[in-house]
Amino acid sequence: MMLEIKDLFISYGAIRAVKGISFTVEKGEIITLIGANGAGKTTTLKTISGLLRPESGSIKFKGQEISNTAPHKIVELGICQVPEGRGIFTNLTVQENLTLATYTRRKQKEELKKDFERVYHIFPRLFERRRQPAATLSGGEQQMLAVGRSLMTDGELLLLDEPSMGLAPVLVDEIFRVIKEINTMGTTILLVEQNAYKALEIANRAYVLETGHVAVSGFAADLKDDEIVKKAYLGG
Amino acid sequence: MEVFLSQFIFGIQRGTIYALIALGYTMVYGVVRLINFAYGEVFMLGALFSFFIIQLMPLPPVLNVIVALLVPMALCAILGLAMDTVAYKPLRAKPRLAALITAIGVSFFLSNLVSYIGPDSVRTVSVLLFATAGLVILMTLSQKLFNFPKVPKSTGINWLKRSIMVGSLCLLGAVAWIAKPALALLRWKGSSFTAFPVDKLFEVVKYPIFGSVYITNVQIVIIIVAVVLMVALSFLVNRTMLGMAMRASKNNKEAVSLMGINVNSVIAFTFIIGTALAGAAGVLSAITYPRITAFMGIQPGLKAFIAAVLGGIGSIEGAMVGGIIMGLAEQFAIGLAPSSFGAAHIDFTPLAEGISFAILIVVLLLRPQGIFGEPPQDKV
Ligand SMILES: Nc1ncnc2c1ncn2[C@@H]1O[C@H](COP(=O)(O)OP(=O)(O)OP(=O)(O)O)[C@@H](O)[C@H]1O
Ligand SMILES: [Mg+2]
Repeated sequence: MMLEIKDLFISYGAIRAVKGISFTVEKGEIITLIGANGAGKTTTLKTISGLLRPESGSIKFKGQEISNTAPHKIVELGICQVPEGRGIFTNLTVQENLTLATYTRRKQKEELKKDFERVYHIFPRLFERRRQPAATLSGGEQQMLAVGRSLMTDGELLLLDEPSMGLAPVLVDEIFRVIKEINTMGTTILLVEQNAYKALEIANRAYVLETGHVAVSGFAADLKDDEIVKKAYLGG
Repeated sequence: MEVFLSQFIFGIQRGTIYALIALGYTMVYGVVRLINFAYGEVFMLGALFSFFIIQLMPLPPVLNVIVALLVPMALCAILGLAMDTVAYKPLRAKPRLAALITAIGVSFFLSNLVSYIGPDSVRTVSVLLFATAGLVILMTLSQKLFNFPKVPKSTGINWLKRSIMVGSLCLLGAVAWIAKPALALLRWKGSSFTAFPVDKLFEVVKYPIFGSVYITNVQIVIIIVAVVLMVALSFLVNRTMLGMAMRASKNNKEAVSLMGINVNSVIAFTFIIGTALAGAAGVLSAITYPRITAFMGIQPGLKAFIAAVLGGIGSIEGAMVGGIIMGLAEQFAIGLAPSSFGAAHIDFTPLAEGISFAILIVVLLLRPQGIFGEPPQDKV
């Protein structure tokens, strides 16, 4: 078991955003969390990566409890995240953004070279713009950078928070293709998406969140045909 | 022309000192949005540490300049780390005003503490330090036995931290107790002026460069040291992983921690670098204006703050340029005042004083973000 979440409660002061959710992610899977705005998806991801502390419940990564671990330690353990709204460093160049992500593995010179090549191979656009400040990239390019950067941290588990947000349809397809590719190369993926249809297409299993609860869960293929899910999230 | 040139040299020299202090303000502000008002006091302590070292150790020439500069820088860096850990880090998640007021408190605390440390009073300081250690022990015992004052159950008493705290208080107390004869020997006067023994470092030599214009070896040393420090800083900030992390922390601290970087360490390093530079500025200033007091940091601290605002607070180039501009502006203001024609005093004449605040007002009116600052924007 790569990630095991049990009875997780998370609050912002008096507001309880996540009310007892449990789910699991197996090694090699793509798992997607879908649900309406405000369902608690981002909150859950932020808690896994240590940016928020849960009120109660447990988060186990490869058997180790991490709900009280600092974010940078969690990255060292092998979880990396593309935060909602990308979170790239706009005052750094593209290359610097990628370099900073290699902080925990800065000694592995040879491997790093390969990883830079890999990211620039997946996103040739980033290679062309590697010396540009990230602020000058288009929204889609920034999203590519955010995904590319998370690859450089070389985690075993990649948390993606709405990677397709604000992208043109062509780019959405491109990003989903890349996510699938990253997964094939061996990274386990926990994907949060508004674009439920696309997410269900590439995922193995899915959890549907509704105001802080898991409402439905199951194999992605089954959920795609589930009448209730169809009505609520797939637009008929 | 000659007057202009010699004023220019003095101005650059004065400006590099402002620039070095301003760098601390600007770097810490860039990363944690805090104006650490204590840089003036770090500047003073830099000069003070240097004074102690020179008085205590007979060192061979050349080496002595390096030791008298580097050791105070290292001590100030440790002080910076302590400042961040004790005073600012616990307030990181609190409203910014809390940290700002703490910064003013730290500043007053340091200058008043030093003013109190003279041969006559140092043992009182020592007793106070021991008493504080005793209080911490009493409080810990009462927390353990009666749970008063309350500690949150989840955290409990951090015994390691408490022991370090009591240990360092006792150590400082012991040092202060022993220091009495040493202070008398050093002729440190505490609150009043003490002469800084420049003659033990340098024999001042004047090199003529143009007509009656000359440059002294002291000035050359100051300018070279300042330039070396600034180049080293630029390298650190622009070319190293740590520097990259510092710049990234300006932009998005959460994302920095998602890169596997401990943001608190990045912030601590920022404090360390800033205080080391302010300490260096203190030494360089004491070499030029060889009188030191516990309150000597107030004016330069304030001026450097203005320099940082002028350059664009948060911008490193801005702090350098702002410092130089302030130094030149003040020097020319003094140079134009007939009474002090061509002289470099530590006394900031009223005119120079006026100039720096006039600059501040003009900057705030015309370009509030400063020369290199980005225009204020609401980040989404
Ligand atoms: N910083 C905050 N302070 C208070 N409440 C918050 C905060 N962040 C989120 N919330 C609340 O927590 C709930 C869950 O928010 P969350 O961001 O996790 O939703 P989400 O599922 O990611 O939604 P979206 O699809 O719109 O991104 C919402 O009701 C939101 O208003
Ligand atoms: Mg969200």
